[in-house]
Amino acid sequence: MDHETIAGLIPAYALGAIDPDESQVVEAHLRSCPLCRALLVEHRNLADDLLFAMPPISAPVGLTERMQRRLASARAEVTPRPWWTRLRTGLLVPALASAILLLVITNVYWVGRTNRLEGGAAVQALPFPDLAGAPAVSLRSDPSAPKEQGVLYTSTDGAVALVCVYDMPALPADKTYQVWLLKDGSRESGGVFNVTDDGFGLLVVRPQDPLAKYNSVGITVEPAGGSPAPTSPHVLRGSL
Amino acid sequence: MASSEPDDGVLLQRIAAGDSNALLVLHKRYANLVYSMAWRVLQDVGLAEEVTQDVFMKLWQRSQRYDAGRGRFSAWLLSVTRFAAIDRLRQEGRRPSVVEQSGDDPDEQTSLEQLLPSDHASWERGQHLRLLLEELPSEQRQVVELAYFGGLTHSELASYLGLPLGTVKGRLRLGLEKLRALWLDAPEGKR
Repeated sequence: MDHETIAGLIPAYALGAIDPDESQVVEAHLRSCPLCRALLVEHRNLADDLLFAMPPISAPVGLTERMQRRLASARAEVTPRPWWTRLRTGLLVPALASAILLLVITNVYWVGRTNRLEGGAAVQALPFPDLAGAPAVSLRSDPSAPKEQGVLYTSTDGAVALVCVYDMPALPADKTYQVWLLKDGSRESGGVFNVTDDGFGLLVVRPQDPLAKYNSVGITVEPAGGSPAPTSPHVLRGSL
Repeated sequence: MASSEPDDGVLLQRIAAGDSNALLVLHKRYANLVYSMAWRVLQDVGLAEEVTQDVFMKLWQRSQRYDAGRGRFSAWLLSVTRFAAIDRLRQEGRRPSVVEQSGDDPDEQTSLEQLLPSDHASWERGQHLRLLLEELPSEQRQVVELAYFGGLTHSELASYLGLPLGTVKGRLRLGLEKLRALWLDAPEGKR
């Protein structure tokens, strides 16, 4: 290839737009041609200014807040994880389900006992869900996120659900996590909860209608005590 | 950028020391700029957001390292974003496209402060170049934009446009040479 032909490739070379075979020829030529090297500097300056030549567009609202959550999640991954999160998913669901069932049963038993000891107040029985083989909905920060950070279990009659989350950042004292059930554009609060230092949280949800009537579930961060409507983007969501 | 806020170099040092708040300050400072580049390449809101976040995560994880000796941080960040977005375009199997330019929009200009709080000069030069691109013949502008924002090489452009390789090479060379000539003729403050 002669000098003139190679010089004609310099503008495209500066843009990274020439094919590999041409690139080798150009690079060999540049080693011995100060004129082409000077031309390359000019076109690279142009390419650098083209970096700022796109139409200006504002990033979506809440992008920095979502970055903050992603950072928190990434930092949580490097800290030692509780044993239940190191189980393979195939083992996690039944293992966790059994652990939660035991926890719920135990708590129901002691709550019931306490109430009876305190004067026989009627114990509103907690119809704990039948977790073994219960339908489970994955909760993630984004539908395409590779990491599951929670599960929603449904009782067989759809009247009760159990929300379990893990690896979630602990919140300050004036904040809480709130569960929302979405149906045809309307939102219904499923309750509030907080997480342990290990990022584990649990909430029993009793929706107004059977769960099959809802489209999706979401979890947001709200002021302590909860809000009548979400005031921040979802940190976790799942499709029902 | 308020004068009390640390400059990019200080923030990058803090990020290297594990300060996530420093990354969030940098994110807030440059998210619009990075997103604009990602959107220009990908033309998709969701993908552009993912690439934007990925770029900052790579900065955090130090898999992308900025060398102050190689130019402005804003230019480096946009270059990383352009390559990341082009990679994502290819992974998704999507075709690059040319964006129809709008005229000078007062709303766009008033958003300059939001978009690039610290590097107005670079932004103004870039936006002037965007106007100069419109002065190119449409077939030259098309190959320049597809090469730069679509990451296409000569042979890929020929295949994409269904044109002979020689035609594509000629259009790209003429387009870039004309753009450079227009750029050199521009008033001093614009380049």
